[in-house]
Amino acid sequence: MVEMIEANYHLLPVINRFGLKLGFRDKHIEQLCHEHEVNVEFFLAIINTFHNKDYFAELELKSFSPLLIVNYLRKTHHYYINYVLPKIEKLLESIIQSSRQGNTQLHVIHTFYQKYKTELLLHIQEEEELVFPHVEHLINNRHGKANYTMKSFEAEHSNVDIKLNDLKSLILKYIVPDYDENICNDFLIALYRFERDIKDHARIEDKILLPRVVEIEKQHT
Amino acid sequence: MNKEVGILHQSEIIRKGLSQIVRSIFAGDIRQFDKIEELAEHLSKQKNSMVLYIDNTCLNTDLYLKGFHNNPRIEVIAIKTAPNEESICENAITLQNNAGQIYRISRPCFEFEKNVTRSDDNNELTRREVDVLRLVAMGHSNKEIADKLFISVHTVITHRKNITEKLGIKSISGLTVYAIINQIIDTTNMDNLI
Repeated sequence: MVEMIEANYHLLPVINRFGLKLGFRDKHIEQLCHEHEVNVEFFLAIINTFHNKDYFAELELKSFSPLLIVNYLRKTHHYYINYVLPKIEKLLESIIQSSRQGNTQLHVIHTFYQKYKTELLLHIQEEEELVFPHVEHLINNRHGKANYTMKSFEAEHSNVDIKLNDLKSLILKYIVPDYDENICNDFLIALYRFERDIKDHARIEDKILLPRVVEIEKQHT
Repeated sequence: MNKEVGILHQSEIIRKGLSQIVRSIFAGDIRQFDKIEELAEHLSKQKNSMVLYIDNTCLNTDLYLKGFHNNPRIEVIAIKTAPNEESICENAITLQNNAGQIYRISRPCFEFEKNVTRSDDNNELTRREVDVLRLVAMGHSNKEIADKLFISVHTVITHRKNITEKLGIKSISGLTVYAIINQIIDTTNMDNLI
């Protein structure tokens, strides 16, 4: 397991989503998964998908129970809401504090970020309150909640994606650097990492969960 | 405009060796050619600019002189077998060169082009684009913008595409932020706009 982290430390938060924490000693991945009751094949499929964006074993990922996937996605949401977004927001506020008083450019950026955050949180909330329970209901009870299907999902992901990219572009290209550049770099790096993570997340939702659930819905009608 | 590298030499050993060396300083396509006719065919099919390593002996052929010499798209580096070989080409490497020397000789050809097609001017918005951006940022629909500027909806869409491409910003609120920062729109009611 340690070797895996050495190869790509960005995987650290990903393994946390499986309930795995540090202090591995020299244990092998399989052993750690068994100890924590984690499906090894699923774990590896997710890790490899995250690690290498060209690796996307669709069929393999679709072979796992949607419940496993939903559980993983839930943990990821948790990470975003409770750690990443607050961190990014704090960094943005630090940037603003480090700048001249009355810097309107950064104020506008802040408003833009707040709007993005609100949209993202709403989207996540919808997933948590509507989509995931629907999936669980479907698997456990062999029929979904009345009048709900998954179709409207995908378009929203690209909307949220676009705004995040715009936020980066605006800061990289157009904002006058009247602030502490080191804090700003930290902010941008956090954004880049978040972007990568959420792209992977959206890919799993759009290409794995959604089609799989549509398939199951068809089977049950 | 994409740049690529071409290597024209009869010897596969030289082509592959040079390709390997060039790979360390160039991440784009590296194409190997056995015969000058192949190179000619490739160049006729696409518009990329090229850094071309070419067997010195090919430089005196008619085909080269007519087809490639002084072609502004191609920067030529001759491959000489011995240092004292004559060449019509200013830039040349020899088989005795090591990788470091090859890099040094080649580097000017790989530097960012001085005559870039996308200069700073091209990234600035035109007057019309600014007009469109202003109305987009104020929340108007394409139809409303078309009416206000007396142009077609199709033209509005084209302007918006160009704006997005020049600025690298896609969302309406992102464009609004840009407009506010560059004082393209009045900023008294900013927060509501975004």
